[in-house]
Amino acid sequence: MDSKKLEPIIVVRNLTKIYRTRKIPLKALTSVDLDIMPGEFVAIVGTSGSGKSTLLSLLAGLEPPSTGRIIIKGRSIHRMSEKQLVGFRLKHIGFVFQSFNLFDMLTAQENVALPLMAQGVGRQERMERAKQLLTLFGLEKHLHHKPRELSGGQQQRVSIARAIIGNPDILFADEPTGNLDSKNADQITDILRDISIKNGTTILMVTHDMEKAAKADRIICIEDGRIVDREEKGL
Amino acid sequence: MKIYDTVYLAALNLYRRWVRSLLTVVGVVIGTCSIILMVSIGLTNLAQFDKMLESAEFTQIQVVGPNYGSEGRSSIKLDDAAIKALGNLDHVNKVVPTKNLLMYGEIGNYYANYLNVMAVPAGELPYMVELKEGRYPSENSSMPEVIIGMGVARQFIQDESDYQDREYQGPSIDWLNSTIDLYYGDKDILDNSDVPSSRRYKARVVGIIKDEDDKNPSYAIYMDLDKGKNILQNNYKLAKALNQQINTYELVYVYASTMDKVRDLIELIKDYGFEAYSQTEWIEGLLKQQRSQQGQLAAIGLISLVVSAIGIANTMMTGVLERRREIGIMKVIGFSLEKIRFLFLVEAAMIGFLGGMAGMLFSHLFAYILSTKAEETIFLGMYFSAGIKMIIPIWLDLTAIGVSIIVGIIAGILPANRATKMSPLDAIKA
Ligand SMILES: Nc1ncnc2c1ncn2[C@@H]1O[C@H](COP(=O)(O)OP(=O)(O)OP(=O)(O)O)[C@@H](O)[C@H]1O
Ligand SMILES: [Mg+2]
Repeated sequence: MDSKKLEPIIVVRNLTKIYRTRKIPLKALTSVDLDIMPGEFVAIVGTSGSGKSTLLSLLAGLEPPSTGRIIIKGRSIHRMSEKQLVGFRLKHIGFVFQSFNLFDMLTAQENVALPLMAQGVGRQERMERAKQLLTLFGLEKHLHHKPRELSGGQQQRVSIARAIIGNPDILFADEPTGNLDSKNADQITDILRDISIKNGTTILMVTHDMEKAAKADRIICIEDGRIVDREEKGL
Repeated sequence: MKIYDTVYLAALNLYRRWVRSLLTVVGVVIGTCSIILMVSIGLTNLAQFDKMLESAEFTQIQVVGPNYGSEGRSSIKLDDAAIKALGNLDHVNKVVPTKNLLMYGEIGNYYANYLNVMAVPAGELPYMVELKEGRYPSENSSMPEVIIGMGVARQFIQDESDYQDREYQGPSIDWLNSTIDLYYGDKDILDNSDVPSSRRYKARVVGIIKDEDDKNPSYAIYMDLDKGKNILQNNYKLAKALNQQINTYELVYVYASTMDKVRDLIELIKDYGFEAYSQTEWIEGLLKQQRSQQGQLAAIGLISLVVSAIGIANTMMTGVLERRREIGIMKVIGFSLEKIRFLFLVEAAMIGFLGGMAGMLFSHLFAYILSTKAEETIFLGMYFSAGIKMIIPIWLDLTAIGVSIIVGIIAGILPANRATKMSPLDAIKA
């Protein structure tokens, strides 16, 4: 794979996260080292409580690491201020949640256009781009529906559209299929795979399901906060 | 992020919890209303005083002879020499001497006892009384000319019992250009054979005095001062019997050049040994009292505004805590802290704006309702001589709306800052 010759887009070194909110400090991640290449579609698997979500939120800069370094696109995430992080996320990172997290006051189209709103794109242009993306995801009939008028699978497609409308380099997806039936879950995984191939977006997807994980380029297995097994898949 | 996007999102959020938003807005409406109405009542109150202060009444000093208590100074008389001396004082515009004549009147079969005739220099009458019809008395007429208020008509009766009738209106004749027979003195003294009887004066009614309002007709009768003096001189024995001096004046009006000279002039005139009064002291005291009243009203308005600010802050804070997940998502999506803060500030400002607008409309409604009365009114401890005619100037409307927006923003600062501190983790770990 040509991309492997490139510099990794995400570099993680000796990453440790300790939660001290309880009486006994809890080591959610222990000395994680990780390189992810541009355009890679990586699945992260592991049992509940193993630290998968923690890894994603650290990578996205939603919380600071206890020790260790995170370098994304050559920039040290762990040193950024919250203000810089917001700007960085707006430009380079998309996020898909298990529970969709759409704004229920806004229509599907408006939800998708939200990151462009934050970027200061005018209403007309961003609504047009949102429409195109939703059409691509087969939701052209639901542009003006509110989230509660959509099925789970439809909502997740809206939320993926929202995550990629700003053309991020990296897409984080935390159990995007967790709330869906298997048919919808397959569809969502295929969409992510498509995005990875067509847009060259680097994708990190957390999942419980080995069947879904098998669709990724690589599977990273986390147990008790440590990466235990890296399964490389051939082309 | 464009401004209209922020406004749109803020409006959606208010709409989503519209009952709560409405209740908060109502709080602001009450605050704005009380500010506008309180200030407006105050302005109305002051405007009325401005009008009163412009009138000549407040440069007027009433001077009377030395009172009977101070017999030691009885050498001082309010006579022509004194009038001249008063006229020579600094800051005195004009001195108007008057005499009071107790008279008995007859017209047709009707008679009136105890008529109180004011004798004033004819040239001054146009400044002192307003006529409804007719003209002012002339100095050069051969027979005395008088102007009367319509209340005088009711004093003319045929029988004592007429006084008992509250609705009694007097003889139904055309008073203008009628002739009244006037006698100096009252019925008792005229019937007393020990004193020479008064001559009869045929007085012509040349003008009718304008009533202050329908309910309070004027009871005044005016004639020229010289005519009055003549009557007294012609009946000097009677005057003595009635204990009236011929060459002194019962009441003299001294007009100061400006209102602020009144106080000093009064002191000066008192030093001469006369008694002097004016409405100025009364009005100054009243003004002072009204101002403190207005301070209290403004305080009431401010307090209600503070209360509405607390309402806004409370609503916003609740909203922030409720929407912690949404705020987290916004942060993950890439909304900067400034944008999130601004969004909440706009939301709070909108509550203020809506409340301010509605408050303004309601204020005008209340002003309309309150303004309909025309009688003398005491409202919230303030005195209104001719009803409350509420003035709400444009600047007051705009200021009130501006203030409510600012109050909204100030109340929103804390919740908005709180919003920026919401963790983005809430978006994913739920
Ligand atoms: N904010 C926090 N404060 C304290 N402990 C936390 C916090 N977030 C996570 N943890 C703990 O860290 C560990 C890892 O949590 P994490 O959410 O990463 O697990 P996960 O692999 O995503 O699990 P799941 O598959 O159930 O989502 C857990 O034991 C969890 O209780
Ligand atoms: Mg998780």
